[in-house]
Amino acid sequence: MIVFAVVINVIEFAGIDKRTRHNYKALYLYEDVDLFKIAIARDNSARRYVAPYYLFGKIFPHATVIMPEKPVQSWFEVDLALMGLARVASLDTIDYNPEDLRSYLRGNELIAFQLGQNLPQNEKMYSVIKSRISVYRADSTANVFLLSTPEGPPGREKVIDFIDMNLLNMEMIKNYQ
Amino acid sequence: MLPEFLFLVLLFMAGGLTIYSLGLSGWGVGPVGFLVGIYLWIVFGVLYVVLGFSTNPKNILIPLVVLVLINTVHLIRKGNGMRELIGPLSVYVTIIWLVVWLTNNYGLVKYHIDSFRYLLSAGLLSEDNFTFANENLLVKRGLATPLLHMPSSLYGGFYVASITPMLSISTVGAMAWLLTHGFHANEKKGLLWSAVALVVMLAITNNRYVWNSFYINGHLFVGSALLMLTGSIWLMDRRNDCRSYYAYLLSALSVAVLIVARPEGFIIAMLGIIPILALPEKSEPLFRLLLLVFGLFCASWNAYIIVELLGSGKSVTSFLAIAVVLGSGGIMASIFPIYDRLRQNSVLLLRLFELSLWAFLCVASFYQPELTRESLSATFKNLIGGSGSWGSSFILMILLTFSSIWMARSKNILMLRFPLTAMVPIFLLLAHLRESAYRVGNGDSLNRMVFELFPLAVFLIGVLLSDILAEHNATRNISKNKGDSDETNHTNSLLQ
Repeated sequence: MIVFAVVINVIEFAGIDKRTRHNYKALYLYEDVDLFKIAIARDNSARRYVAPYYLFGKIFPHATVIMPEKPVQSWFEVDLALMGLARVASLDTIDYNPEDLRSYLRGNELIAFQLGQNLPQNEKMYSVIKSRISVYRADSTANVFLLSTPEGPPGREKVIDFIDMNLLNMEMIKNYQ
Repeated sequence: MLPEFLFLVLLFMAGGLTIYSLGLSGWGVGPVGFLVGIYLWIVFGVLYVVLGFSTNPKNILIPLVVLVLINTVHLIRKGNGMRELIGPLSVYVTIIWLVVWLTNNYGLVKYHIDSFRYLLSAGLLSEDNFTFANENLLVKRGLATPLLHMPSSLYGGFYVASITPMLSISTVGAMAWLLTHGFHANEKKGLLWSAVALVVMLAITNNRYVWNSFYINGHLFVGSALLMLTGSIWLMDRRNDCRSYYAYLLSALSVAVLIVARPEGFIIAMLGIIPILALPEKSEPLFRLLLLVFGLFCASWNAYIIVELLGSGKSVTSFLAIAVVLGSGGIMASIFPIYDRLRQNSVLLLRLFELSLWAFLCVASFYQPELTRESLSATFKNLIGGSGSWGSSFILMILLTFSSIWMARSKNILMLRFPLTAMVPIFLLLAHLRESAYRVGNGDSLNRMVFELFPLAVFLIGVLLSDILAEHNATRNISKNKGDSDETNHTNSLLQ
């Protein structure tokens, strides 16, 4: 009966994989080697929950991110993801309203990070990532960013903005504090 | 690639040299040594976390390096050790190199969104920020899988691509070693190796086993550790060898790492320890050692979680408090002389324990019948109906496992059987604890969790096969001897 079980395993192997989604297939060769690139290219959950932090960390390594004191409701937890996936150099908090931050911009808005770099070309991937993260970088960046949530608590689908400190009117923020 | 290779070789050397110093020799040093190396890494990592030391991977490497040096000096001083090791070490280092090369050049990795939670935890550990970990990371993800992947930060990575496939290869290798080591000396080697090959094929042709060999999660790790725990105890009992110091270390390490691997880990560890009471040979020192290890790790790890959660203003579930109480109970039980009293009624105790689990499930189902019904329905569709990608293998494994249990002759089969059958009601109870039914699909937690019993089930089937072959061989030898004796008598009578 053991031999029978082994034979059945072999016969059914390919058929099981054929009916199974790519990340649950036993033997499936992706075109890329890196798990993050694979998942971001293929899965909306990775695009929403992993990509914002992974991409931010890749494009702005060892950045400092300033967050509001009041916790930001998102999935994954923003502070943990910034530490564990973006690997920021430092995470600070000040008391400000992340939903109003755009009104403090000086005016030089620019979506800074390159979505296409080293990732497969995929329109759906870009649209999901763009709906989830925006980064505004100054021409001369201090690599210090404030976190903004213009649409309210990001939850599972709303946007998280990172705004370069050099783009902000700090007096307005200090007055707000 | 080179840093990853060096890390895995260091793990292997630490584990292999340690287990060899404690008496395990031959080709088993390869797979078993690698598993011991992983377990040692995790145990040191747990100690660093709980004691508040820096969890930068460079720091946790230090005790491994020290262990390699101590063992090397010890073996050189012994004078006869190192030459015997060269063969197994070189073969296994070559295997490690091949796997590192394969996984870094071909996209074979498998994942679920939970995989990123483990890697998030690994990132916090490597950046010395684990004190920020939340309840989901502390309770559901544990420490084992994050610790396995966090050394990747040393070379700018997020995960160690080759560690899961190496864990898989070592699990199958260790299973084969346990079976061959458990065979009696008078059994034919050809038959033995054919049986072992068949059992190994049963594992590696299984679609879910292959998937779990590349999947970033803790299920294969738990399955492997459960096999090592029960298998090493089974081996000690089968060979009636209480001086198998390597088996003591292997079982103790398995208990420790199970507790920090997954939330159900401490339950599984308990199920691996309790049946010692009913083994044919008395094993009090082993029982006390494992209870002590269980108690220390279960109490301290869960107490750490409680302190961290309370410190960040979060509430603590009763599940954690129960774990601390059980851990404390384990420490007390290891100190007081309860072994003989428990052993006298061991079979009754074990039966009552299993019956009570089913009773709890019945009570829970009475209060939440819909949850049980939905869980059973989804589980049936996943495991039997094909939605969970098991094909026909699950039902075949059930038939083989229960046949093995029913036909087994040796009493120490209880060591292997008990965790398998006792986990069935526990898995269903977990749905009630989390107040959410299991779902249909590959991503369902029970569909993935049930794999934790797979390596042990395959091993149990291998043990039955070896027992049948041993019996068949013994019968043939008796017939042959009888035949020779009859022929001699006939010849003698003819001569007379």
